[in-house]
Amino acid sequence: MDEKKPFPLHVFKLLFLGFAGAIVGMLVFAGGLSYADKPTFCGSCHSMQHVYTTWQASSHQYFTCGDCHLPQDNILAKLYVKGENGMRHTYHEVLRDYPDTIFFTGTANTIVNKNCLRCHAYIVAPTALATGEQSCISCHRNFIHGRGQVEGGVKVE
Amino acid sequence: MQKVLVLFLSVSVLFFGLITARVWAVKPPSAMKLIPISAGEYDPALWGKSYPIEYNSSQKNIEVAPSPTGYNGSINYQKAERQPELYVNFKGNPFSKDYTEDRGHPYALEDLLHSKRISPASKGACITCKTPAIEQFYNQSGWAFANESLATLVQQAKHPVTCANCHNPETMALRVINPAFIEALSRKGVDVNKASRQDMRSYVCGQCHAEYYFAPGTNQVVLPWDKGFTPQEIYEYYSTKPNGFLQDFIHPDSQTPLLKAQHPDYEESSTGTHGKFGISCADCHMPYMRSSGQKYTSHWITSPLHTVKESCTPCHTQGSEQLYDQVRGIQDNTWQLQRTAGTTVAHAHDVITKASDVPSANKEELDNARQLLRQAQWYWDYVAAANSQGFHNSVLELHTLGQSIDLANQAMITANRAVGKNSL
Repeated sequence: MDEKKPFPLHVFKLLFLGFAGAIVGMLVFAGGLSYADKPTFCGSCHSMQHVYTTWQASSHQYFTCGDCHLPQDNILAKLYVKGENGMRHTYHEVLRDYPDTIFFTGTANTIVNKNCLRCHAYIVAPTALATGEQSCISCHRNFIHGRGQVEGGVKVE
Repeated sequence: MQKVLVLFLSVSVLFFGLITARVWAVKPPSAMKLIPISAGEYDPALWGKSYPIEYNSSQKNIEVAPSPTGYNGSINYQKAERQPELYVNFKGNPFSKDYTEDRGHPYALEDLLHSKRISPASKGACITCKTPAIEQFYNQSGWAFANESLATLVQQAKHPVTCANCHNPETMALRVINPAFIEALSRKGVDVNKASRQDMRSYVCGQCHAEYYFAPGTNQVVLPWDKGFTPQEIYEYYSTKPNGFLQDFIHPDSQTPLLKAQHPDYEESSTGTHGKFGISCADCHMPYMRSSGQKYTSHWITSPLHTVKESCTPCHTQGSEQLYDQVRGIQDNTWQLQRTAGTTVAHAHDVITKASDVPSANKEELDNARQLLRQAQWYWDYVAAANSQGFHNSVLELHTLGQSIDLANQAMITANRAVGKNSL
């Protein structure tokens, strides 16, 4: 038996494979995340067609869905909510049991409201609305996905 | 180990394959497929073969539903059981014999036949809003059908209010076929052929859920909208004796020439808060639903309180309970005032009757009293005959009932003056 080498070849091989795997994994993850962050991805679900079209016609068309609908405090909070929402939405999309008008559930309302204030806080700062416990969207809920911006109804073709 | 890996991989592929297939590869249709139906086909079951989702939802109309608030609804009880004043106010009119709550579109013909208000002498005008066959009747002979025998026309009609009353069979576009509605709007300068889709979503209902009268002689159905939709404007219109029309009946005791109001639902809702803001009848009464992802219009035509989530919450987010309380509150208030108005009107009939028996009574003052009572009864009946129990236009309806009570009291004061009583 030969003298034992401190780093035999297969260790280098394993290390190389490990690094390569990690890089590929990160690329796939980053690519996937970047792809799934695009409104076109959100709009590819049947249930999202109406909100997607109304958003396109709105004054907020240059922002993505996640800009408003996901927490922007830190990446972990964002990924957690995105993952949880994604799984729940996929579940209902597969079952096709969603209603015609989709409403916020859970913390969605708080998240969106916080994101309004990320940009618009200065507008309410000098008013009584800044005292907290107010919700922007209890009044402005039809602002982005408003009714009447695009033709609704059932189409016959 | 390998077997486990293969199993895991195949389960994953199947799982994600299923998701991909359901979510992206095979989507629910985003439009309804048009399957034209031949003109003159009125059988709803045949339409249902091509439009099963809408047809199935319309079948719920057959299971008559009680009203969620207890007012009106689709159970055919006699209205006079809850409002005995109807016997007095409609004395001498067929409505005192039989005045049931309506059961809905599938029963339109059947209940017409069984109504005690109908006799062998009844005229074809009554069928105008009971069947899509009105299209043929009118195309064949214009309004002449209104003077034919009702019994004959019912035999020819076959189907009650159904798909073809509101849909063009070849394009599925909304349409109105009641000539009286088309003529009434035309007199107001509105061409129904140029109406927007949103307007049509109310017109299809309004073509029948409206006040009307039969023109003397021809029995042609006329909607009294020339001066406007409010009870005050319609009363003013009737005061012009349109087409020689004076009254629906003369009260046998008080000798008052009276009008009978017929379900002015379109008039009330189009002048009410929702109507003024462009909300159509169908927006609330036929909300959008989804079945396996496909959007459709509910054809269960009923109280929106049966579908609060689909009908109300797209705009009002206060929650079902608060919304129910809001509607119930309006209806409770309107009902109480409607009973007060109805009983005051009944009392006025009694007072005028007694005053008429006094030989020395001032005839001119008695006639004035009858005119006041005619108006009072019209205002009460305009609210009482409608289906929303005040909801469609609560402010106007409560105001109208208030006027009714005042006018009925004025009628009694005038009748007393006619016989020289209560002159102070």
